[in-house]
Amino acid sequence: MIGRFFSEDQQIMFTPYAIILANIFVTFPLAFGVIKPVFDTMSRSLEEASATIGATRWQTFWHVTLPSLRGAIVTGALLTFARAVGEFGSTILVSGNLAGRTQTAPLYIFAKFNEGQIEAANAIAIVLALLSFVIFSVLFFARDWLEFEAQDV
Amino acid sequence: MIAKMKLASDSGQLHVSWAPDREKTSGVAASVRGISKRFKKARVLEDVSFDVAEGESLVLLGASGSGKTTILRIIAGLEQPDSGYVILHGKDVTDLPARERGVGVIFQSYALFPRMTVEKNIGYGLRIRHRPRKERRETVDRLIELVQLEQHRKKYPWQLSGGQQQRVAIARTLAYKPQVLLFDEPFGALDAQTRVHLRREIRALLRQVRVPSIFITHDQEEALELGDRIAVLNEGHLEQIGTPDEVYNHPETEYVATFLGAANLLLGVAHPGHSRNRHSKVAGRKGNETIS
Repeated sequence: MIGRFFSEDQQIMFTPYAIILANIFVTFPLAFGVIKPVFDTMSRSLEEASATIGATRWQTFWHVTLPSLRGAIVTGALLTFARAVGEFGSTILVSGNLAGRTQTAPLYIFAKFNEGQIEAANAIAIVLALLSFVIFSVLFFARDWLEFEAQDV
Repeated sequence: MIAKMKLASDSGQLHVSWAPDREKTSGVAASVRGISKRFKKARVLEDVSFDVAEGESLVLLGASGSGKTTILRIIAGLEQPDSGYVILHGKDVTDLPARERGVGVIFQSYALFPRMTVEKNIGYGLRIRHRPRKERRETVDRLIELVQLEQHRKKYPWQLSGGQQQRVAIARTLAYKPQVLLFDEPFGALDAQTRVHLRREIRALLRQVRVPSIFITHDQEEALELGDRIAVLNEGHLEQIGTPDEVYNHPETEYVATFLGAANLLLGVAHPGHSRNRHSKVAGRKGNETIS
């Protein structure tokens, strides 16, 4: 269906866009799992109050619902990012593993490791490890701030 | 507007009315005509009709499950009746969505927006109506002064006490000049002492703003104090509607007599000095009035 809109030379496979698309599919449940519970516990009366005050659904979503979800959205984004950076399986399937163009960090590690360049693989692996460490520290130390968003509804 | 302000000051009240600007045609602000509602098989409301006059406060009194909250939600437009009409200032609004009705609802939990300060909460109604900034600021200033929250205007809802939150909720609805104010169990979440105090505050406030209001409560004492008139609901139908004096002294049905009478008995227990009230209905009435 969607293929109809692309001509033959506009192939999405083996491009960075393919990687983005694949990672959206893979990480979506992760973000959903964080945001959904907060959404569920939000009191309906806030949205009802907004409606009786005269807001449209869109205004209510923009001014009331979205600000209350901010913490969950930030958490979801960080988790999604951490997951996508390290994502291997779906990425190698669609990326083509072209060095300098569609080779992500985990693919690079895999390639170098296979070539026997353990040092290069290790260097990138350490960078990845530090990155994920930083992300989860942020999640950990910002917990109070993020949870406050969820509970004050 | 000028006529309206004159009217307000003539009656010795405050200078500004927060009721909507419109010709006073019939004197009836809101009326409910033959409302019925079912949820699945359960019949919640059965042919309920009543009027609220301009500037009047009406209390819907009933036990849990009597359908009083459903009436309020139907008037607000948050629920659709199966049959019947809701008329606000002569206009049939039964099919209008909540946001086009211009009704102010003060929810039991106040439902203040947690990510907005007091002034942003109050200004919300004008902001979504895209009113000019100057008008918004002036209205918010006047309302904050009216509900006496000057030193709290930059605070967030969780930094306020229950009573202060309630005043913010009222001011937030007054900002867009509601046709009618609906209070859903306004004192349910508060302790007994604060409750009595806030009741008086709200009554004084309503006298100033002169917006017709409907209260929902299961507390007889509250109903007698807040209402110009009281409508007693029992299992979805209206038992009696009348002034506190009428429903209290001349109950038309047994249910009204026992439902309001129970308050008396409770009063007798709470104040042993008043125990003689139990023997004389007349004295009991007087006792109740002095308490309010």
